[in-house]
Amino acid sequence: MLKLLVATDGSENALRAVRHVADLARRGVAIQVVLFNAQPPVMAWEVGAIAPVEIAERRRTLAAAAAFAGARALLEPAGIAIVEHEAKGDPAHEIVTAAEAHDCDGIVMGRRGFGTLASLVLGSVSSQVARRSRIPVTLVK
Amino acid sequence: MSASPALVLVVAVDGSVESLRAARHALRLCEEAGSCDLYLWNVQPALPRGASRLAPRERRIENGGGSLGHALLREACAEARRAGRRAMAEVLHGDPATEIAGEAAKVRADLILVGTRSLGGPREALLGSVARRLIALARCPVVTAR
Repeated sequence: MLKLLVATDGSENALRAVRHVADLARRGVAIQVVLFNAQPPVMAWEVGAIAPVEIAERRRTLAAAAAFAGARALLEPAGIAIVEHEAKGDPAHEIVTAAEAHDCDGIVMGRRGFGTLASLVLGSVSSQVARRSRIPVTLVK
Repeated sequence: MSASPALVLVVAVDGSVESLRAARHALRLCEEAGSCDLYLWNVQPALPRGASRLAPRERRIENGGGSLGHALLREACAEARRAGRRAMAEVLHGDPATEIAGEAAKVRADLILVGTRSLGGPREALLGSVARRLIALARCPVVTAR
């Protein structure tokens, strides 16, 4: 049994990574997936009199749920067991930490996505993960 | 599971510890998949025309019981043997990323696995250059190991 962390943000790019994992499973590779989503922390400017912090939090929970649902729809028909992992904060850091916590054999992610201003300086999230992770990282285009 | 084509895996081997880790991950995938075509490729610089005259040192290595490329593949091959897998070890010539991406497309690779070194200092945020270029050129997903 191969345990893979699959990072998803609901984007088409992330879904391609999910499809790659489903394809491996169809080829006979026994896979268990830790489905990962990171939402950015709530920023001060998002919170005001008419937009309390609960609404901002709620919006993130819904976004994570939507990302998970899209990935589940592709993984479950391939017979893959899924554990969900929701995180808040810097995606690259959270992905590496979660993969270690779940004792994964590998990380699978789309090459782009999770784009932030910081990624212009630090490189894309996927290359940050590939550089920091101690376990193999699959980058799917 | 219904009959499906064998998983085709290509490992870029340069003799480094990182590329051995990539080979081990490939063997793990092979073990799980059951049927698997495993290619171990090392890329050496393209020899200039008339190399036999221009590069006597390279020729000595070629003549000395196997080429440098094959020597660098030896450890990964041994690893495959220990895992009870037959691997196709080959030496390619040219630019590493271009050759591996091109040849991998020809064998319809499902995955290319490559070792990567993280560079220290101000370039710390970058992956190794071969890995980075492979990711850009490859038609299939690329696995980086370090």
